[in-house]
Amino acid sequence: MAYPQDFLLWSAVDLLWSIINILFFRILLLNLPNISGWTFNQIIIPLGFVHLIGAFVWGVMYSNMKELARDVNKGNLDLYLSKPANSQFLLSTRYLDFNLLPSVVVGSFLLWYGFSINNISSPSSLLIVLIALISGVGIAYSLYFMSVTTSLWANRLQNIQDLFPNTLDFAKYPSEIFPVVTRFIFNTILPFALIGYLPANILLGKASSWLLLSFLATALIFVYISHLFWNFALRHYSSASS
Amino acid sequence: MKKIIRNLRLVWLFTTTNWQTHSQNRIGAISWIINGAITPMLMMSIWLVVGNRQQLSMNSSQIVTYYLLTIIVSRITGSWSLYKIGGLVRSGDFSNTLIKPFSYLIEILSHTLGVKLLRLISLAPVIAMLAFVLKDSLILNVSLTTGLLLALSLIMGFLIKFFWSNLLGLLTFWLGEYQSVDNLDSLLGQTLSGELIPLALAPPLLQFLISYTPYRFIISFPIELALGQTTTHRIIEGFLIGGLYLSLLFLLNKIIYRAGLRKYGAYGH
Repeated sequence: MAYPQDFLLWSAVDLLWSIINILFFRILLLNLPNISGWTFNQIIIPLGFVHLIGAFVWGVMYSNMKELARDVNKGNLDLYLSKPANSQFLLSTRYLDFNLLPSVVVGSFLLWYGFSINNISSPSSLLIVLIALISGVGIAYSLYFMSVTTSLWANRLQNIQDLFPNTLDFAKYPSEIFPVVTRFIFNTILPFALIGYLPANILLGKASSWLLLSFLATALIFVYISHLFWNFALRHYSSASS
Repeated sequence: MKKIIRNLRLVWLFTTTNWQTHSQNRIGAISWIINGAITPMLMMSIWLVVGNRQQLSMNSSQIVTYYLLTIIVSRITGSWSLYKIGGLVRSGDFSNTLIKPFSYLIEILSHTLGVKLLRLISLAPVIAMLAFVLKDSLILNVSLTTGLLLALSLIMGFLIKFFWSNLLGLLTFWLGEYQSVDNLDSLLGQTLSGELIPLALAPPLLQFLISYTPYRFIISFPIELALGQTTTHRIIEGFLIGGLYLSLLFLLNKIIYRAGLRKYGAYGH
């Protein structure tokens, strides 16, 4: 917030990204009733989820992951490793970027709009949204953290912090559009398909609410795996800078 | 003339130095390659699904070839000078470039060329592998003339992107930050360069915007040439507009740079 012009420009660009995303789906579905069973009105809901998770990724994670990659490259990680606290937690929570605010507003608007055009009004839907967001954040955090942790082996990976935010784009599209192998990967190893489309399926009555619990369990497992992966990677950290 | 030769020598010297420095870390190119391939592969999957269900003005082979070329072309024409200049201004290290006996542009250009050439070599086996996997769907018939025009369009595309990126980086003198400008550049780049929607598949308004903004020359124009999706008239028009943009951006860079220096506090943060 120290740079108001930058913040205002960021907000405007964020809004524009959302408009472009929606327009892109509008163009895709100009002459088609649906894409892999998803109508334009239904797609607004997963887009809302992905936007909110994106706000977390850009606002909470991005600066921390960028700094983590830089610390590995400069050999500055030792300072955090020597502190009497969980190093993964310390390195993940150093910065908070207020640039996330516009994305939160836009994502919330998309969810609200998606609910109203799809006639979703049950009170339980709010609980579904809450659990889905917590689970989505858990999965996004774990995958992002693990992707940047790979820099402990390579020492210097160009723009490694941009890799996950870019791949998050896969979550905007129904996994059914991808070939079988890719679909399998996006539902299991890199569960992008779960972030937006699983909760949307539940909210639209296309899937059982019980799947939400498996989503939450998956998120917890991924957070734990990211912790194990971090500890494993630390054994390969040389403290050498480049 | 003497000055141009001296500058070219400096570009060569710094390019080779950057090449040598970064060649120690070739594995760093992995994330650069993956980052550049994500959107084209994603868009290819989507347009293939749409193309299977409705008649499009591009068939599936053209779609596959288009997006494979997008990965190559975007990596050739891409430039990260926005980050480089933005970072230098933000940290106050831009002052170092001011005391050197040559333009900051020479240093930025050499860094971009040195690293880019190295990365392109790393990209080659990946492209070869993708081309092998997708060989049945690829259609590419480039004649000598088209090849020469393609090479020229790639050089023009790179220079347009380089000066455009520089110009946006120079805005850090006023904004103090560059992330939001970079985000804006990504947004416009993806939408107007033909990366999200190829020119041939775009609705009329978007076609008009893609045709007449500088972003077209970064991806769409070279691919239109490679795929033979254009007419002689459109090729001449394209090179004329591209040349005009290049001159305009070069001029704007000089003006904005001078104005920016007056604003520059050199304190850094």
